[in-house]
Amino acid sequence: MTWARGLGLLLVAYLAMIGNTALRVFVTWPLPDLGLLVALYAGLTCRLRGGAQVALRDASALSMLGLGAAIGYSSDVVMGTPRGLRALGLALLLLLLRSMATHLLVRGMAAVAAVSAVTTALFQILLSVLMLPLEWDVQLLGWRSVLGQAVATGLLAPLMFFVLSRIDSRLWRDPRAQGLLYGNS
Amino acid sequence: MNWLRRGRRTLLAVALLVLLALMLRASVRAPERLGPVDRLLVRITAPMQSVAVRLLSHVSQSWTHYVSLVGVQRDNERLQAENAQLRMQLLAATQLAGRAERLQKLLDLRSQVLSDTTAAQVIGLEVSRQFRVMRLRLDRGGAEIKPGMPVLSAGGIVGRILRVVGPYSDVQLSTDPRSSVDVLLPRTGSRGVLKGVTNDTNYVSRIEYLVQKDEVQVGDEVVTSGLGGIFPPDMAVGRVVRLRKSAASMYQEVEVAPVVDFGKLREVMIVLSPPPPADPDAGKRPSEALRGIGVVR
Repeated sequence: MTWARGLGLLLVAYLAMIGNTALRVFVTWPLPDLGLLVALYAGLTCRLRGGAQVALRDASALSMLGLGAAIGYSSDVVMGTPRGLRALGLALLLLLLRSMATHLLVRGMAAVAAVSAVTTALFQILLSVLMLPLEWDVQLLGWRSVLGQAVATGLLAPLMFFVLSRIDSRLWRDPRAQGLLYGNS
Repeated sequence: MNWLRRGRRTLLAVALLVLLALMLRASVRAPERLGPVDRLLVRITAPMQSVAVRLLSHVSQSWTHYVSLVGVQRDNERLQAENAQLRMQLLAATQLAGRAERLQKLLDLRSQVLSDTTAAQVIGLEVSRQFRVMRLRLDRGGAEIKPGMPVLSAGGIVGRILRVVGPYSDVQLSTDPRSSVDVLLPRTGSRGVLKGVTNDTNYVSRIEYLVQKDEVQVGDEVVTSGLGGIFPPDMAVGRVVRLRKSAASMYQEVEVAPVVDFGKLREVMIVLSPPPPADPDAGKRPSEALRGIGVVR
C-alpha cells in the first residue's frame, strides 16, 4: 500500500460521502454506503495481483487498519455518526479482509454486487454490536433500512469498483514495480 | 530483530483500535464536544456539502425543466416549444410561489414568536435511526448561534441546536431520544415531557409522566407549554397516534407523531433569545393590573 494509493482512496471516499449526504436532502429511499464500498474495494484488492507484484501490492495489516480508520473517521464526521463508530468498524473490516484476501476471489458484476450487499448488511450488524456496550437501549437491527442500504450498495458496487480500479491504476505506481511483470527475463 | 519489528506493529495496531474505541466512547457520552481535528474537518466539509446541495438542486431543476420535455412530437414542435416555455415559466412561478409561501409562513411564525430569530437553510441531512442519529446541518453558525437554541419551522418545532462549527450548525431533532420538550395537550390541559423514541420505520416521540386519569385520545393535538423557557409556548409539536394504559403503572404511555416532515425541510428558523416570561397580568383590565403593583389604590 503506497501513500498515494491510500490518500487517493481516502479522498475518493470522502468526496463520495459528501455527495451522498447532499443527495439525502433530495431523496428518501436508501442510498448506498459509498465509504464502505471504497473500504471494501481496498480490502479485496490489497493482495490481488499475482507473480512478482504480490509482494509489492501486499498491504501490511497496520496500513489497512490505518486506511480503514481514516475512511471511517471521515465518514463519521461527514455523516454525523458517533465519532469512532464507523472508524472502528471499517478498521476491523479491513483487518479481516486483509487476512482473508488471499482466499477470496471476487470477480464479475454479480459476485461484486452480492459480496458488497452481504458485507453492507454485516457491517451494519457490526456497528450495532459496537454500539451495544455504550448504549444499552440501542435498537439492534433496523432491518428495513439495513436491507434497503444493502441492496442499494450492491447495485452500485460494480460501477464503483470499475471507477475505483481506473483511479487505482493511476494512483498505484510503486517504483519497485517497474519491469516486474510476468514473463520478464 | 524480525520478531521485535512484528511485535511493535502488533502493538501499534492494538493501540490504534483501543484509541478508536475510546474515541467512540467519548463521542457517545458527549456528542456535543468536538476536538480541533473534528472542527477543522467539519469546517472543510460543510461548505462542500452546501455546494453539493446547490449543485444537485440545479440538476434537479434542469431535469424537471428539460428532460421531461424530450418526448415532444415533431409536427407540434413550435407549439410544444411555446407550451414548454410557458410550462417552465409556470413551474418557476409555482416554485417561487411555493418558496414565497414558505417564507411567508416563516415570517408569520416570526411575528408569533416574541423573540429574536434568524432564518437558516438546510444544507445536509443524515438519518440513521438505528444509531439514534437524526440531524440537520444548517447554513447558520457563528457567535450568534449557541447550542440549545430552539429551531422551528412553519409547521412546528424541529429541535434544538446541537453544536456550532464556524458558520454552520447541527440540529438535534425533537424525535431524538436525547431530546426532551415540555408539552401541553390543549384539549385536556394535561402537561408532560416529550421524549424521542428510537424507531426504524417512522419518527415517534413519547409523552412521559402523563397520569392515567388524563383522558387523552388518539388524534389529540400536542403543543409546547413554554415552560422551561426554551421553546415558545403553543408551538405545534405533533398528534397523539397511540395510547397504552397499564394497571401496573400510574402513568399512561402516549405516542406522538411529529407534525413536521423532517425529510422535506428546506428553511427553518432559529430562536436566538429565550421567549419573554409569561405575563401574570395577561387578561386583566389595565386598572386591575396597576392596582396589583400598588400604582392605583
